[in-house]
Amino acid sequence: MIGKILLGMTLASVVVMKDGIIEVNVQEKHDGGSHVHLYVPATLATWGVHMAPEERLREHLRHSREHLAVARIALHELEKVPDALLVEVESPTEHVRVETRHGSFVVDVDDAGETVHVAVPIRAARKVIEDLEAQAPAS
Amino acid sequence: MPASQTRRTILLAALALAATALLLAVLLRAAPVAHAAQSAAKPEASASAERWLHVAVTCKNEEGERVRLNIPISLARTVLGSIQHGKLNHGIVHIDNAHVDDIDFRAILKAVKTSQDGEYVTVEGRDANVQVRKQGGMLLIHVVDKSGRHIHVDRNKPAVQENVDVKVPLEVADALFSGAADELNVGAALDVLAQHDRLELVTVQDSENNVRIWLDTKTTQD
Repeated sequence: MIGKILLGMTLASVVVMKDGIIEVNVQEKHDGGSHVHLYVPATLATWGVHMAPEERLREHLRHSREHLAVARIALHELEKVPDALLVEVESPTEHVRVETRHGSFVVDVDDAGETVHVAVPIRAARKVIEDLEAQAPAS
Repeated sequence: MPASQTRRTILLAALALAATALLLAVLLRAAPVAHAAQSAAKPEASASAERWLHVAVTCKNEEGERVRLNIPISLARTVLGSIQHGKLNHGIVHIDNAHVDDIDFRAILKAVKTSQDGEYVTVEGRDANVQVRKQGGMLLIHVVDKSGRHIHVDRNKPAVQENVDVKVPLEVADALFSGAADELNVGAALDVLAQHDRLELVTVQDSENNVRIWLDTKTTQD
């Protein structure tokens, strides 16, 4: 019985983790500032598209089809790119980095008020965009 | 429960636990490791296959702000080719006829291509000097803006000048003007540009900023 439960947990883990992990880390720098650090299975994002109310989703995506197509193509190309720093902005008060790292699209912002780190698996992001594109009505 | 069945259950549980740990470890580690291994295994191949467009902007003020962009040409090319919006149509930019009616760029380009290397245009004015020359298949444009209108200068100081250097391979310019008269084929120009290993394209230097745009096979800037 325990074996079956663990096997089920294993399979569930495989399904949930197969698209990687979305990481969000926000740390406010002022005294008493909040710190939010989330690890979310990217699969949940793809499931979210399918679970959203279809009519409302189609309404929101009515004019987005061409933008989604561009985003999908860009993400598909980014998947092929080796790890690289794409954008970096440096000033005495702010440091922004946008890069691809280990198959994820990573954004780091460090300014006077907070540090923000977001990492999204590119493949999962592309799948979400593809799903949204499939739901978007042709304009 | 017989002892043998208990042992079997414990064995199954242990196996499942080990499988869970193994799979989680693989799932959490495999993708980055595989990606890193792929990157590490083929540095030469990726470096030789891909061209990167780099933009560096450095402000000379006290803050010393810096902006760095590194864009793979293939990404720029593919994304540009996918956009159909306004005057941009799958890598082709439609330009207003009014601005090009009086100038036949193609004829000028053809004439320059078939001519010998040399300085073709020299304009020396009060506000700006402009030089256009052809050298080794490259069109070199050098502009010195002496007007100082683009920046706020101290009246007690001499006018600050801005230097702009543009280097364009002639075949890139050729590809750019390969479409209709009112079109710029940016996609084709990028395709030709990507055949170069290293190329300084634009440098702008003035009292406030240094701007450099170049192409090479590195993913990072020097």
